[in-house]
Amino acid sequence: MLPLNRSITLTAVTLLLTVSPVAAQEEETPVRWQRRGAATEAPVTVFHSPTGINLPTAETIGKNELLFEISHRFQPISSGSDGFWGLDGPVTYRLGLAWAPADWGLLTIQRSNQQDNLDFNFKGRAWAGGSDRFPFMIGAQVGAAWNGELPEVSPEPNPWQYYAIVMLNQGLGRSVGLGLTPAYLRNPNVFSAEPQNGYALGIQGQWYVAPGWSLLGEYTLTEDWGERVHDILAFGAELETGGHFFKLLFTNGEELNPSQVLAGTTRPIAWDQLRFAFNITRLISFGGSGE
Amino acid sequence: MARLIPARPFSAAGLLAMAAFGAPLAGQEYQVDLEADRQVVFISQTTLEEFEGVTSAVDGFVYLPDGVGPDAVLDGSRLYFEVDLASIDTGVSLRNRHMRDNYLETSRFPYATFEASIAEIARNGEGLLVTTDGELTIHGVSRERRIRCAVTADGSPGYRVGCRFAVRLGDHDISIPQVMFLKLAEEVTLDLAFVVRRP
Repeated sequence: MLPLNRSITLTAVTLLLTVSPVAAQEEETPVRWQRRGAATEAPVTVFHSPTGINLPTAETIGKNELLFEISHRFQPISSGSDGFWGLDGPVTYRLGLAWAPADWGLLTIQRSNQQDNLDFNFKGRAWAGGSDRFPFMIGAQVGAAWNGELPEVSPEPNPWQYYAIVMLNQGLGRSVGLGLTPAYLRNPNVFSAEPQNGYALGIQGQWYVAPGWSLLGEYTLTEDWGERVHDILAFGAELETGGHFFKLLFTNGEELNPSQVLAGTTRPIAWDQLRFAFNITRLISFGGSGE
Repeated sequence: MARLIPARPFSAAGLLAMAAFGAPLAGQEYQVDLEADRQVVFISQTTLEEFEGVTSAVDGFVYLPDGVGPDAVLDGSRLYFEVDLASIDTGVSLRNRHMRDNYLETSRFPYATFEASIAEIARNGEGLLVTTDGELTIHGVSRERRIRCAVTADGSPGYRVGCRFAVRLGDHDISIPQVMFLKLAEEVTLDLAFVVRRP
């Protein structure tokens, strides 16, 4: 340890050197400007797309933007060349249109030709936070569906279904997104005499391999309802551009709308039931993104 | 190349300011006026699509050792401007994310900066044409650039600055995947307009 008087001397010399005329001359210019405010923080993101494969994510779009969707589920690839590996159809398809009244909320109307299922839902991003390495988002979706084409059987089918889904999305850095979607479904079996309560759990994963490209998978655990006794597996690749998501998929399920996905499928998870599918969404903007 | 912003007659206050600033004075610092209109626009044009990204988040300063006009002392002049890149809005939320995450990588390189000195100030109609030499840094990669800006008086004491120049993204290690759906041009045009004033 230095003696006190020597320490004081060293400090004084250091200070003199620091403010010496030579040092002052080397100083560039007496600019007072300093940065006023922090850099803009980008919104938290786990999954890039508002929808995984069949189930929603907590992601939304910009205020007043529209999201148009068209999706197809073809016949099994095992149909071979006679059925052009399933592409000859018939197909299950969906057309959907969503509008964002706020950058945290999304109103959607969509129709699937499976039982003419017409679906209305609202999705909200409830919370987004975490860190750059572990971003986390929570969202919820509630919806109602009306099945317009049901056979005339006894007892008379109940065409209305209602559901609620919670989306828990966890990111691992910017490259991996994981999701859990516990869900409740009212009237999962539209042919039952009395409406019942059903539950499902979706598991989602997506690996963003390179800018614009990712691999994704989704498994929907469901209960047994009538002929719908199988879970739904789907996987594939996603191409993302500044306004589109193209999902090229394989799945055992033909279901598209939430109230049908949450009830399960009639097709088992088996090689001979695997079919080609796609989801395409196009973002339409009128002016600012609202971010 | 610099785009000259439309010249307009100086206001009385502006003339007074010019007269004052043209006289030999001690070093003067001008900072971007955050209360005045500020705009930075990048324009991407490809055969498939043209779009713009807009932000008002530009800040910085100009320091002149002595005077402002063509007779100003330029030795020792400095200027620094920065643009907050994550604030750029292209009008489409998904495209904004692409710009932030895939191209500009704003979490690592939040600002585009230009740090330079003034090489020349020339009369340009009723305003000034200011030539600057310095380093343009985007995406963490710096390039020597000469950038010209048109300057006109804007109140007392302040100046409206307008600059336009092209940036090749490849010069800053910003690679654009060769996929037909991605419609960002290799060369974008930057258009800046803001006001600087004495703090």
